[in-house]
Amino acid sequence: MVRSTVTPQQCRLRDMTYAAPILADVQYVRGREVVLRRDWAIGRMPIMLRSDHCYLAGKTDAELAALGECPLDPGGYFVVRGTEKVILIQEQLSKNRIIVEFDAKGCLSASVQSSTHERKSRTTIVVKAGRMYLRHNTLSEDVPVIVALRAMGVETDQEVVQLVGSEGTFMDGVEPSLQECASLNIYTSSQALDFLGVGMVADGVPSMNPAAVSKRKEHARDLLAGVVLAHVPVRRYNFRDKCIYMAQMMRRILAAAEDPTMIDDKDYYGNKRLELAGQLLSLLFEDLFKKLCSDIKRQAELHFAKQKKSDFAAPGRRGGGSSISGYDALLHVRGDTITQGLEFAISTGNWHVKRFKMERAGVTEVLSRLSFIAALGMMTRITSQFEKTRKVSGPRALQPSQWGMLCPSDTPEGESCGLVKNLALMTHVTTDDDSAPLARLLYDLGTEDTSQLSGAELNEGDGALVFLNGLILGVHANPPALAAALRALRRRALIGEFVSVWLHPPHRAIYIACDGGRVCRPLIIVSPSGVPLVTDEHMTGIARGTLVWRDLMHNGLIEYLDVNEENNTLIATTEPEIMAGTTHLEIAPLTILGVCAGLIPYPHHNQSPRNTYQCAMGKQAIGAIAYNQHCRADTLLYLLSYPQRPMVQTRTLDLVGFNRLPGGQNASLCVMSYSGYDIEDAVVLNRASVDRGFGRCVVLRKHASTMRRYPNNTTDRIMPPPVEPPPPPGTDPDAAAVLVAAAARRNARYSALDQDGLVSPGARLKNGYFYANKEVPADTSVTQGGSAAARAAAATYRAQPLIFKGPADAVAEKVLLTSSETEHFVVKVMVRETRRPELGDKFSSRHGQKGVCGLIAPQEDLPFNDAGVCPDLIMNPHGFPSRMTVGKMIEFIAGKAGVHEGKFRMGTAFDGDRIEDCAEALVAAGYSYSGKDMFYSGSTGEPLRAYVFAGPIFYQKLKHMVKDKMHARARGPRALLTRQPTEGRSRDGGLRLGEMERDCLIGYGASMLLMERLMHSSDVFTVYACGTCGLLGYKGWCQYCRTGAAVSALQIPYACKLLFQELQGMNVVPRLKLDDP
Amino acid sequence: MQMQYVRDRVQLDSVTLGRHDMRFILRNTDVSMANAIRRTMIAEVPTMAIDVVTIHENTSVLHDEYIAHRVGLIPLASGAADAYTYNRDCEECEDFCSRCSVGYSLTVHNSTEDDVPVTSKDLIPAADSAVAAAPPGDPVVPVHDSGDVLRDAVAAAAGTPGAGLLTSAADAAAKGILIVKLGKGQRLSFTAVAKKGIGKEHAKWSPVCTVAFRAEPPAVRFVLPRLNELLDETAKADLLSLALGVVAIDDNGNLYYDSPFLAGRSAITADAVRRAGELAAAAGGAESEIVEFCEHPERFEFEVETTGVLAPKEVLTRAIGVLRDKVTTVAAHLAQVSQEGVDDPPLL
Repeated sequence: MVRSTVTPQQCRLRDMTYAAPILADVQYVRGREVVLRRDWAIGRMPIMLRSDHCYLAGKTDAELAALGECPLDPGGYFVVRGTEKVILIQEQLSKNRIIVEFDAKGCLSASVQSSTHERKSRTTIVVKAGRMYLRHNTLSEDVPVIVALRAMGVETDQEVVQLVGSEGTFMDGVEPSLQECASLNIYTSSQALDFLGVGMVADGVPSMNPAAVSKRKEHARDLLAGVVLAHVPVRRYNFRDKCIYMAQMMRRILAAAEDPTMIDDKDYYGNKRLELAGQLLSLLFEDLFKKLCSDIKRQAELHFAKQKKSDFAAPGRRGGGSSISGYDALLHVRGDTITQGLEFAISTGNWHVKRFKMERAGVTEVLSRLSFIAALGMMTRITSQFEKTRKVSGPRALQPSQWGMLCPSDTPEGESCGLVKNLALMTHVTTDDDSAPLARLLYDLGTEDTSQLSGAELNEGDGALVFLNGLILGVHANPPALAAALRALRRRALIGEFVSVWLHPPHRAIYIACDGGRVCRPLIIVSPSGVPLVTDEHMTGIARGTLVWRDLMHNGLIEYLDVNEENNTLIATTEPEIMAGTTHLEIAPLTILGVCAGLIPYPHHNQSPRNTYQCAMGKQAIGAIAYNQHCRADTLLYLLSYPQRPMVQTRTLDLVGFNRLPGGQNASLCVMSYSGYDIEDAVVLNRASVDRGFGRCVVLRKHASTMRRYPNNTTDRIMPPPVEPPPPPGTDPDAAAVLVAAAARRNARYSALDQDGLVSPGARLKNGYFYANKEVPADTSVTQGGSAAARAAAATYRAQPLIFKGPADAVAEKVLLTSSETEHFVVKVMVRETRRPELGDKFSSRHGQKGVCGLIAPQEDLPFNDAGVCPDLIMNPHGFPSRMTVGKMIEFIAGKAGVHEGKFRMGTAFDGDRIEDCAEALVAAGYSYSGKDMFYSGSTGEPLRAYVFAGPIFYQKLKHMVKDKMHARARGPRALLTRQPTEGRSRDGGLRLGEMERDCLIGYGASMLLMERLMHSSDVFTVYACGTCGLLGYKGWCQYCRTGAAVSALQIPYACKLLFQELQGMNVVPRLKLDDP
Repeated sequence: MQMQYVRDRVQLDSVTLGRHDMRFILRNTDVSMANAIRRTMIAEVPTMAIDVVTIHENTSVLHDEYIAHRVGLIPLASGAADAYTYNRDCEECEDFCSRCSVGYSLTVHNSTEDDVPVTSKDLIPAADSAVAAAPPGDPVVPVHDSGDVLRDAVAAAAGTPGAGLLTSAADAAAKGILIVKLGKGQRLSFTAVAKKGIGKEHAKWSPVCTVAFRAEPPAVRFVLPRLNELLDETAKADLLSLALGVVAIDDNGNLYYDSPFLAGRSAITADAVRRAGELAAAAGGAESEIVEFCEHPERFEFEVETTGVLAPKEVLTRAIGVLRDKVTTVAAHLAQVSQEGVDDPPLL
């Protein structure tokens, strides 16, 4: 057996899906025998890069490089049909947890979203006029909750009260509900079931037929057992646990009615769960797998039905029996249900799972490779399923419980502001852990099982209910002891490190969770005496490599806390802040930021929206993408020619590898006004700097084409460029030269092509040149007769060369010839263009301060200081007051100090080099501590009248460049239907004179201009209208009146003529009334 | 404007002269002259630089334009630049000829296992017959020493006269300017043509890295003896807070000019002047007593650092030459205009 490995890079280049076969052992009946088929491939599962099953897992940097992979690439995405796709993290409300809140009508309610393997359902208890009702999708209307309890076997009022709580407030709160139940004359379980059963059937008069009654009781009981609060298990109609759960919901409502602080906050991050790619894929796989199974079943049934029929039709052929017995179900299966389903979902982002009524779009996104940071930032992105159009601030606001878990800066502006979030640097998202061992442990630690307890015992005393993943396990007499014990076990790694223990005295509960999707983060444990357990000794151990993260965890020095458990802690941000009662210490304060915000130096000195802007802009910065950037075949790639490490570093830069794949350059900057071409944030560039390579970038664009194969066995082909016959011998050399030149001119568009008909790498392409001389068969239909080879040979071909269209000349970088998964021949041509900054190109610093280039001034005109240094870039000081980006000013000083000391300075958030130290370094180098220098005017040589703030600042060149945007049109293509100019730059479209502009012209009374813009320069058309009938004629003849006497020619927009004709097509006759002929 | 300088008295004192840098003082002239010299040195001294690169084979990691750009920035010894004509003005040829250009070729193949750096040392002047017809003067060859390599050696030999100008020795010891590193089996081969040009066209033709000058005396100065006489210690400390980097207080409690001020790196601000005036007035003096104003500086301390294409002295000489030519041209036109009469200026 030949084993070949498929690497992600191959998949990217060959437009394949990076997937691995799913092998299943299948046991089935074939005829009379039972067959066991081992390792049957039921489909292919896309593999996440750098996951455990990825070919790249555990490879060294050198091995990765050999596979064409960048060692700094974070992985975490999929390669589907050649495109890199990220399955975004989905945020949703946690399942199986009681949330007490006001519903849409303003009634207090407690709701639970139950989720089990079989079904999802939502159960709500609402308070209406002091009485509590059960609300559920399957019930046509709200049912008194006491009725439901009665139906589940709680027949006495005393039991109800004890379950809810016999304290005064709870007793009073339940009373109205009890009364209502009594007024309905429901006292027994049987009566209650009947009531529910009637309620379930929405229409008709309930039958009194005993059989019907018992049937609907049966039905009601099944409903209560399986659908209402589905996640609470009911075994053999023992409703005890469900009753307790329902009573707890009531208790929570009553407590909230009494004390508004008991109302839950939906936006509190402990109530959220993050769904990762694995969970989403497993959901989808399960669905597809079931579909595959039902397909197999259907196929088999179909076959047997046919077989029976034919056996019946021809009873003589009894031998057919063997064919029945020989039916091999596996041979008749379409094998790509799972493969296609998964591929389709990932490539389109449409997640349809029928069982859970899940219909999500936009789950996946194409991995942005604009810059390294853009790709990295995408891996940490979280989207919530909340509607973007709703005008509520709650879900968008930064919640205090997100501290340390989500980046407070990194969120887009506009409609999805606050709904799309990003993980902070150290956040971990838990995966599902088995809860059975944990439950056993909890019982061993003294939790009393609910089945042993009466209602009164549940709610009285000092104990607390023990919840495990939202289920009530029992009661523990001493909850703090339980919590302490569990935490101690966790710190010794005897139970899962991500198990969360949350003591909640107001709820009289201890919540233990080991479910997936919780966000948590590591913290250093502080001993009761106030000493952090991680010491310098450990740090040196880590530095030497003798200790790893896992050791710290297993030795109980560090632990992961989820949002809920953080409520039981007192966390000090820095060591000096540790005080009595402090339980934990932050590992590093900078980790509350995400990767994108981590790039910003001194972000804690900036106005917060500036950091948010930078988070968005860092993703558009041109820089290095990956180590394999020249081996990639992306549709569009921007690369900076000379990327540099920023002078002012942050810790994050090292951690994420930005230092090795930077996205900008250190520009020496002057903050001053210069020339007036720097208003509105425009910057002035130094021409000499531009000449020497500042902001120089490479744009690589992919042009791809597949060579298709047609049903008649013909294929597209690539032919060599035409060869001009040499001038006949004996021609005068001058005349021959003329002939050759003429031929070269004629074939100029072929000039970039090699002998194989493909562009040669390094060849220059001008607009309109061919990069592949492709030909397609003239006839692709299936024809009869002749051998396939003969037909293919006889086929005639039509030229269909691939034309390069670009605003500027470009160079073919490389040509990739390969075949895709479907064996189609693929040609990819990477075309390269080198650009130097020009007027209108966009630049930005790392502080959300973007600006376009307004002027490129010659070096000799720019100001210079005593060392003769000219700025690379001049920025207008008006950019500072309103933006309040103090961090940028500190970057100036730190950067300048670093330059003069010959070392990088640190600008880490909440840490970083102190500005005083930097200022001292400046003074030591003979500069002003303020960072301001004396400059001389470049044009006059006189000293400038003010000191100029100058220093190096890390500048990013953003992807928005005029060359990609500039557009003008005098005349050009028109749309086929309306004959109006096309729309958009890509179609060489016209510039629209829109409604508002039109209004201006009307208001001004410029009717002739209006006429010119809207008709003469657009879709003017001469029609012949008949003065008699008012209909349109043709060439001076009215077909309706059968005369050309009253016909006159007039000019109207073609769209108008079109409208008339379309109206006529609908039996509406527009008639033109003509005045003076 | 008062003409307080006599043109004949424009003086130039060379302070130091290094291989790549020079400090000199220009006296008895005004700021416009000083700045004109600075600007001309940056932008208008003709030098030679590679302008056309024809890549024959490039299997290195850098693409063609990248390499062409790097090659263009390599400094070429341009002592003979004046002997060349501008390529665009050359009447002798259609393309290139030895009167307007210098050809180079480079071919490096890495047949070793390690990375091989391709440097300016691999750039070989084209050995075609036309070289014989090349203009006289120093050959136009790459400058391999970008300035820092032999700095120590030069500094050590600074005692001996002319040690800073050990051009050939410095070049020989320098590693050359890196163009690209070739990996195993990679090959780079191109021909290049150097042309004459000026810094205005492209920075690669600029002979200098930096040119700076500062005016002496500075526009605003304190009269320190008078200030020291007038102010007491607290007043001096007060003034110091507004004039950090300008003045400092010595052990005797006297104000003296601080090094940044003397180096032209900082100046006396309006705030400092105002405060000094207030303090002086409070101490019984007058503002006019303690501040000196100099509208016309008369001494300009220049600092020039070249890229290595020309000796610093040569840059200055040629810059002055360029300036003189310009002025001569203007004078000639002026003469023409005054001859033909102002009312009828020549159109075109």
